[in-house]
Parts: sequence; structure tokens; C-alpha cells
Amino acid sequence: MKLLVSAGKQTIDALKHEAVDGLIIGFSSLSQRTQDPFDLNRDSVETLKTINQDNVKLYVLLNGIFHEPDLPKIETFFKLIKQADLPLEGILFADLAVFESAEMHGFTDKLIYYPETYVTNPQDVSFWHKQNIKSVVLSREMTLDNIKKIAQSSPLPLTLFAHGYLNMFHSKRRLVKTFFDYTKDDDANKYTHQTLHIKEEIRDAFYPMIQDDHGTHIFRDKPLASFEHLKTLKNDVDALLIDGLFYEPDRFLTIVKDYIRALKGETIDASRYDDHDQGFYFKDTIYQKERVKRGG
Amino acid sequence: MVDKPELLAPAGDLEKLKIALLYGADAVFIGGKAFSLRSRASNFDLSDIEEGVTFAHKLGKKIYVTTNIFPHPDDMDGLIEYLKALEDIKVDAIICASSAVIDVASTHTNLEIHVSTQQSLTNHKAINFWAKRGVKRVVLAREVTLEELKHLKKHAHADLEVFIHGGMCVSYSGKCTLSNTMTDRDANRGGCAHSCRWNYDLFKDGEALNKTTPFSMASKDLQSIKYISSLLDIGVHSLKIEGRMKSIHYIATVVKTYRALIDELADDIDVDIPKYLLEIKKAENRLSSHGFMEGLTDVNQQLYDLRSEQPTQSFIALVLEYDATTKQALIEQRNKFKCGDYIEVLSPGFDPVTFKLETLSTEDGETIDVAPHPKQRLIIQTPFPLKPFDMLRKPYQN
Repeated sequence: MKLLVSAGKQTIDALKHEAVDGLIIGFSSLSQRTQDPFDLNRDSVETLKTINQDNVKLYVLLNGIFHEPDLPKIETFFKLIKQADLPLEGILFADLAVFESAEMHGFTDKLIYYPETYVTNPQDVSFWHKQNIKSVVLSREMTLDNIKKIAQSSPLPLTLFAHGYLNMFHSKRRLVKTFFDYTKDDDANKYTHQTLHIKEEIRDAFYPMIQDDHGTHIFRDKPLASFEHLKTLKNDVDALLIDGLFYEPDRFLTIVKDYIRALKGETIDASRYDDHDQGFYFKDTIYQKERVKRGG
Repeated sequence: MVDKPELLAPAGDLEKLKIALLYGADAVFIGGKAFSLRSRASNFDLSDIEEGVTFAHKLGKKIYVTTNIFPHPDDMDGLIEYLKALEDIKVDAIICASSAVIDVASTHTNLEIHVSTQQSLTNHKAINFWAKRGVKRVVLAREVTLEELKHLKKHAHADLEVFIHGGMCVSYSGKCTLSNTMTDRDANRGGCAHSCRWNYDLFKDGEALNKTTPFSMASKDLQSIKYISSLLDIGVHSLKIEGRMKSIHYIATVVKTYRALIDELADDIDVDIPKYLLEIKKAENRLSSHGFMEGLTDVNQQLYDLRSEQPTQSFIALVLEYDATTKQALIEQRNKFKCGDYIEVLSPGFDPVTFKLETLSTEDGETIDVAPHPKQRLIIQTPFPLKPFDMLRKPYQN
């Protein structure tokens, strides 16, 4: 099972020496909910090319939601990597505009569909297999049982978000700014790009929230950890995503080292993850489907 | 004169479906009991869908059925059988969000497929991905602006459906799992708990940033009266009203208002926008704004210091029957009213007219002064003829 690890400008040099199968980097205008992304320009691509020479497999996160004015940026990306001949192992995408551009530029076989909530059953995987892409990332609210059911008949290698803060809300609206505009704060923009938390009146959880150039994002209160389930997941999925958003670089490096050790069967200090949880692995959310009967 | 787009209305049950069509909708979208979001809406079983389709087709109108959940593995059971049943019933299209449902529908049926707003499609390339795979129409993300829509329309190869009225997800649709985390209810399988409309406290490094006002993400409802002219000029194919869980009064008022507005604009008649704004307000139970029509939203599109919506009390009765000989109408009470009240009649195709209620009695003939009981069937004398599905309401007061 592959370990694919998020990396930013500050962390990539440390992470490239670890025994991971790939580093996932973001570009500021094309990627969202990623720490420390690269700028979309020739210098960045040349830097990444240098890193690639260390036999690091590079994955790119292009998970933005693109409106009409954003489309040229996708073209710029493909032109830059083609001009620089930057070897990419995979391109994680959510917006189908990326598929269209990748197809035009001959990158379909590098694509990994990562819409976060849309890949929920075997037929989805079958559909994407027919589009000739490399892999799909399963939806984040899948139980372990459902992951197994999807894996049993999967024609595609499956990828799973296995560690980090799961995003649970993305609005295009600047909801922090509008709130401080409403309360007539002198500088309604002062919390942009800062980590805030929201707490609902009758619940105890503090949910991380960030407003940035893509809008407003809210995350689950506890990060997901998958150490206990690696043996099971090895049978079901091809690659795990380990995400570093909200972690200090040193802490994230420790997490990555722990996954490398755990996958080798070595024991790790589980107490380091007491403040994590198991996401939706055992949380089957409610949906009651009634039986379908003609005329019934 | 420009081509008229389709006016598409929601319906949670057969009564609402018929009212939407009678009051001027060209098509209605409904949810089946399976594979559809809005689980709390009173969704249709197959015999209801068949009756709705028959009713619509007799009027030369259309019925679309939402199959817009993102199904988990066990939810796929019965999907092929269900879609084939919809095809047999001759529904005009299905509205899908999941690639799995789209794939199954296009493999096993000839149903027309519309891609739901749950896919949050915001650009022509993403639309064309689906168009190449046989999709006839896409429902655009509510975040698309009018300016973006102009560009998008020139390059998209599928028909475009645009929301013009009703509630708005504050998140990109289909991308939100607030309910899943906070209430164990799957927002993408019909269980949305509207957690985005709850009140929160906002913190930075443990310190509360909101002193007296709860932090909220709630958005105003969408209302597009002023933008219909531009949407007609751009040439979108369908204008969509949201609200399968809304009342018959809401559906009748909103549909009738947009119907008249579209017809006047298409006929190059100078429209009286304030008149339409006043009329649409009669159905408003939450403050409204123009959403993303003019660009990125700001504070004026958000709701603060409001805990819940305020249902309008102005709709007082639905007309069930009218006897031209006695000039009496059998009505069903929906909100309290009394003798002496001035009553406005909302009727498909006609401007509202008002009369003073002089007599009121029960079905048994007992004369009463006040009608306090919900759903009570009553008889009133009217100075002019009424029709079944006419609605009685209190005149709007600012």
C-alpha cells in the first residue's frame, strides 16, 4: 500500500528523504486546503524538477472548483509542466474541467479523481475506470465496511484519505468577513487565512475554520488517524493520503515516520494519537430507503 | 421578442404538482421515495409519479424526477428496476448527481438525464464533460454569476438550468458533510439537518470573537425578479424555483409571479418590477436577496440574529369546489380568519381580486363567525365565481 504525503514549500526538503511513495504538492491558485502551496510559475516547476531528480514521485493537487475566469490557470499548469518536462506520477482533481484539459494535453492516465464526497459505491469506480484514469479517492464519509464492499469488485486501484483533518464544508462566500462586516468591525478582513474555530451552542466540539481566496472552509474537530486499520486497508486500497494541514512541520514529520513504521509492522506510540479519531470508519450515517414497488 | 425559457417548479406531493402546473409552470420536479434528496419532503411513490405525469402530459407539460443522492453500496439495490419503472411511466427526465446513477441510467434506459446542482458545475468544460456522455441538461451551481453565465452559455454543449428562487445551500452543493459529522445524518442522501443555519460562537486561540451576536452562515433566500430579463437575453433553457417542502401557497404565488413576468418580458411589454417584487413578497418566509447574480456575495446576502424562518400567515384557505347556482364555495382552512375580513383571491391567469367575507358556515350548515381550525372544510358566499385550486389570502400589508 502506497503512502502519499502532502508537502509544502517548507516541508518538502525534509519529507523527500522519507520512505514514502509520493509527495503531493499544491499550487496556490489551483489547490485548496493545502498548506504552503507553490506559486504557479516557471520557477516553481523548475524547483520541483530538481526535487524529482532525488527519485521522489510527485503528485499534484488540483482540487479547486473552477469558475469560467479560472479556466486559463488550468491551461497554464499543463503548459508549464509540459514545457519543463516535469515528470508527474499523479494529478488529483475534483473539477471536471481538469479532466477535460488533461485529456487534451495527454495526461488522462495520470488523473486521480478526488471530489471528496462523490465516490460512494462500486458503480462510481466502474464509471471512472471507463474514463481511463489512474485511480479514485473514496468519499471521506465511507465506513470500513463500505470501503471493503467497493474494493471487492474494483477495476481501479483505490485511494483513501487516511490521516488528517477532513474538510466538511466549503462555501465560496467569505463568511468570516461578512460576519465582521455585519458587526461593523473596522477591519473585517483581519482574520483571512487565519485558523479560527466555531462551536455550536449545544455541542462541545470546536471545528477549525479558515477563510481564504477560495472561500470559507470548515473541518471536523478531530483529525482522522488510521493506524489501527492498516492491515485491513492493505487488502482494500492501493494508496493512503496523509495530509499535513493544521500540523506543525515537526509533528507532521513524526506522523509520516509513524506510518512508515506501522506499515512495516513495527509498533508505534499510539498515545501520540489520543487526540485523533476514526472519522467515519464506524459511523454509518442515516439514510432510510423505502422499498420500491410499482404502485405501492 | 425572445424565446421563453422553461419555468420549472418544485412539488412535494400531487396537490402541489397540480397547483404548480395550473399556476403556470412548464415543468415540475419531484422526488421519488427512493434515491432522492429532501427525505422530509412528502415524496412520491410510483403510482403518484404516474398520476403526476399523466396530469402534466395532458397539459403539454413535463415532469422530472430527482434521483440525486450519492448512493452508498447497499443503496444501489433496486436502482435499475426503479429507473426502468420511471421510463415506463414516461417521466420526461431524471435529475442525477452521482456518476453511478448516470452510468446506470444511460446503460439500462433511454431516460433523458439532467445533472443536478449537487455536482456544483461552475464552468463550461465540466458541463461539456457530461454533455459528451449523453447528458441533455445541467443544473448550474448557485455560485455562478450572471457575467460567468454569459461566457459559459457560449461554450456549453448542454442545456442550462438556473436557480431563480428559493433557499440556497451556503456550501457548494454536494460538498457539505456538516450534517454527517454533527448529527450522523447524511446530507448527500437526504438527511441534511441544515447545520449551516444554526448559531455558533467564533473563536481565535480560545478567545471568543463574537461578543453579542451569534456567528452564523445562514444565507438569505434567492429572489431574481430583477434578473429574469438578463437570463432571457442570455438564453438559458430553464429557470428553476426551489422548494419541494414549501406550501401550496408559496408554490402558487411564486410560480404565478414568475410566469407573468416571463410572459411580459418575452412579449416586449414594459414590466412593472415593483409590482412583481410586492407580489413575490407575499410568499416570503425568510429574507431574500439576489445570491451570486451580481458577483461574490457580501453581508447583504447573509442572515444574522434570526433563529428560524417565519411562515407567512396570509394564506387562509384553498378553494375545493364552487357552486355557480348558489354562488357558494367549499373551502379548506389553512390559517385563522373571520367574517368581516377582506380576502384576496389568487387564481391562475388572473390578477388578484378582493372581497369582504360576509357569511361563513360549516359543511353541516352551522353559521360561524371565526374559522380557527386547520383543514376545516367551510362554505362561504362569494361575490364572483371561484375555481378549484384558487387560494384565499389576507391582502398584503407592509
